[in-house]
Amino acid sequence: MIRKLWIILVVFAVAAVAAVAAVAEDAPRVSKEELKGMLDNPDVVILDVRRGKDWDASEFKITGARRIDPDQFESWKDQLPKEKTIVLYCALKGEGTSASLAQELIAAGYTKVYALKGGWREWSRTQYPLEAK
Amino acid sequence: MGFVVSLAAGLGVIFSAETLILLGNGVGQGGIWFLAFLVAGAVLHLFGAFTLFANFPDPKGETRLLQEGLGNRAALILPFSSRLSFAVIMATGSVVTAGFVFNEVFAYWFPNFLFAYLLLGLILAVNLLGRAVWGKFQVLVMLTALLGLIVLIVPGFALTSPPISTDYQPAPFSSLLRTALVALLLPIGYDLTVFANGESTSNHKKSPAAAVLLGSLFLLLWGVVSLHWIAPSTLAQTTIPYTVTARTIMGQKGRIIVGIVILAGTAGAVNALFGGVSRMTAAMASAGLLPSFFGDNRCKGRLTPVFLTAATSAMLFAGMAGSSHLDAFLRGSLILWLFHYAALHFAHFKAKRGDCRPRSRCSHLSVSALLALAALGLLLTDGEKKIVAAFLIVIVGSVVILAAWSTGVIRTRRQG
Repeated sequence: MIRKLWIILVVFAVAAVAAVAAVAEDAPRVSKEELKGMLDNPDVVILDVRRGKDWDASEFKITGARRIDPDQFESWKDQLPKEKTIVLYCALKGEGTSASLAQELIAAGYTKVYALKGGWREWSRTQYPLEAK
Repeated sequence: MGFVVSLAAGLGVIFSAETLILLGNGVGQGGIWFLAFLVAGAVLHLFGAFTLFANFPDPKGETRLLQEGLGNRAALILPFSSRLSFAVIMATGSVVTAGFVFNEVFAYWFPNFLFAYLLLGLILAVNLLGRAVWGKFQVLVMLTALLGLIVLIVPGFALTSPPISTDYQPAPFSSLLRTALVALLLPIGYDLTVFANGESTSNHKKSPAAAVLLGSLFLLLWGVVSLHWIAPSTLAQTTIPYTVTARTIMGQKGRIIVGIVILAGTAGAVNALFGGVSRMTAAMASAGLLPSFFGDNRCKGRLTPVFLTAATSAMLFAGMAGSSHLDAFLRGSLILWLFHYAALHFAHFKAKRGDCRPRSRCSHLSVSALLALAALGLLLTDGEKKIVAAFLIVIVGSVVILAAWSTGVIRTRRQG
């Protein structure tokens, strides 16, 4: 009985991870080098969607980025300029939050939406431009 | 040395990043009122420090009082649900904060998560190396945090601040009530002094009160400096009020000094909690509330720090650091700790029925009611009260199950 429960639990966990990965994989990505080249472009909107301590404890954000609460998606999903390029970044490995939000924005009618590959960690480790929150 | 170790243990949580965030945001929201509430809260906690914790001759004193006043189940459920949940949740949040500070202030190339795990490993090692090492480490890190704060506070008063926008609006009564209740949370953790000195009978008599006084004094000074240099609206909204204030006062040097304060404060808070909770479980085991393997004789008290480290690592691994709910859980565990103080005063009231000083018993009953109401008020005025309430139900429910299991194990062993 216990063995069966373990098998069900493992299958469930693998399926859940695979489902999250599949959703995240579908969202288009932009590399940190590409984003660095877009920093001064007025047609690019960068959104910081880090969650919890990943946002709270950090002193910085990417230069020019706007902070939005990833848990309040419904409140801001229609307020972004649809003609502009939107880049989201988070702190999760595999861009979990930013990629899934990018997918939701695409579903809401936005066309040029990307998640930053490697997210906040890759950007800050390379010492690309940052500004105080 | 015993008094210093005990005092350092009591200051651990008070000088942590989490408390400094509560202070900064509270000062931003309540202005000078918040500082007045902080003083009032310190006076209330001083009553507990003098009349309860100063009278516990050893770490078992609290367990004995709860057993006498409220029975065995309450003696297990109350301290366990408050301190244990707080230790794991605070350790999770604090080591992540420390990781960010180390990464952003000292070594940008060093992964913040790796630093968080290394710090946790260091604290586990300190806890496993015995009480002498634990005590020396605690004194070292708290002294560092205290000196760092002094280095920031002195220029905070001495230098001329740039003109700040006076955008402070008097807060409505409901939010002023919330800030008053939050101020009551700041000295929490002073009672860890009791668990710092093993079976010593005299070292920690004055240390609980000293921890409340010294901790509150430094928080008050830092609050005044913050309010002097930073606009209240900024303080109220920022998630890193300590860095914002230090950076404004001393620039890059201020960032480095406050970085040291946060790293030392985090190490001190987590070390004090792990050591305190370990001795608390050992005291419960020797009082027959927990199986004997939690005690000092078996496993030499190593089980609890290993469990706390494993639980914190599991929280980190599960991505709790990136969860929006972690702060709500932290507030929930602080509410439990405040309620634990209320229960201790009530236990004292019930246990001392034969006390010939009715005024003393009435004071304990009044303070107990005040603290319990404050805990309830904190829950009801919380912006995420449903999440906090769900957290409280899960934690207390889990501890009730643990209590039932523990009773079963102890009974089986006795019969065996």
